[in-house]
Amino acid sequence: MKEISNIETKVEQAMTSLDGISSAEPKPYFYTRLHARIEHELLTPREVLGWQFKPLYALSAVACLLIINVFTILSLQKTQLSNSEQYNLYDSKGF
Amino acid sequence: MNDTELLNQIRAGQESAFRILVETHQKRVFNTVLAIVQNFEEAEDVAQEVFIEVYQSIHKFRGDSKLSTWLYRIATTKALEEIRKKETQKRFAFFTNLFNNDNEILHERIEFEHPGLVLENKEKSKQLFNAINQLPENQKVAYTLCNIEGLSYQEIMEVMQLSLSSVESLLFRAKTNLRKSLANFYKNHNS
Repeated sequence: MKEISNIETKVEQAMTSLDGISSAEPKPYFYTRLHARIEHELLTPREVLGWQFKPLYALSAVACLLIINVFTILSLQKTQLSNSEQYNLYDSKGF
Repeated sequence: MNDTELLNQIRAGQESAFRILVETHQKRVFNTVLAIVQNFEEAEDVAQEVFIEVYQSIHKFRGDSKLSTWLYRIATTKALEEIRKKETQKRFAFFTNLFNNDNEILHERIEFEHPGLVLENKEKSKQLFNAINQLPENQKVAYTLCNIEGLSYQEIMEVMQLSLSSVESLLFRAKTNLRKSLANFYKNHNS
């Protein structure tokens, strides 16, 4: 019982801990930093090439395409082989 | 100079007018963001993003609401976006840890201590901020605007674009959830 009352007191103390809170101050020269950021982000010409042209992404994309191509070629070869086997179009001499 | 004149001057491209707007509202914006993101450096970044958004969309502001209301709305939206971004980063923490060369623990939550608190309340408020952080977004915004920014119900209604009953309900649920969360914490850490 005493424990519950103790918890309730702590809860109430925490709930009222923001009473009398004063405003925090941003760091000095906020506007100067903001102005510099606006100039950098909005007023300077943007890079013509986006992230997709960064070497790492470009190389990864090329590697992905190569892997897909290899898989496609391999699976085509397999299909062709299995077709010829299935219909038995050629005899052992190649006719 | 009133808000309309100030906005007209900014729209006309006067940098000095934009500077006045920033310097008049930077503290309000910064504090709103700080209470939600609970990190000083991130709050500064997000506060800057709020004013960049203002700079970019000042032509779209029709003046249907007060300038301060509009600023609060952008500030709360941007702060919530920042939290969502952090949550996403946390979900991918495994991968970022995998590729990180330093052995530092990334994405670890640090207890927030608001610089505007009375000394005797600092320790108690850490748990409250922790509990606020676990609230659903709408409840978090309503509670922060009411209890930290000191906005009236009318102002919260305008910022959140909700009815009075919705704001009252959000605040009631926020307080109930905070009490539950704090009680659980003190039960588990009872010494």
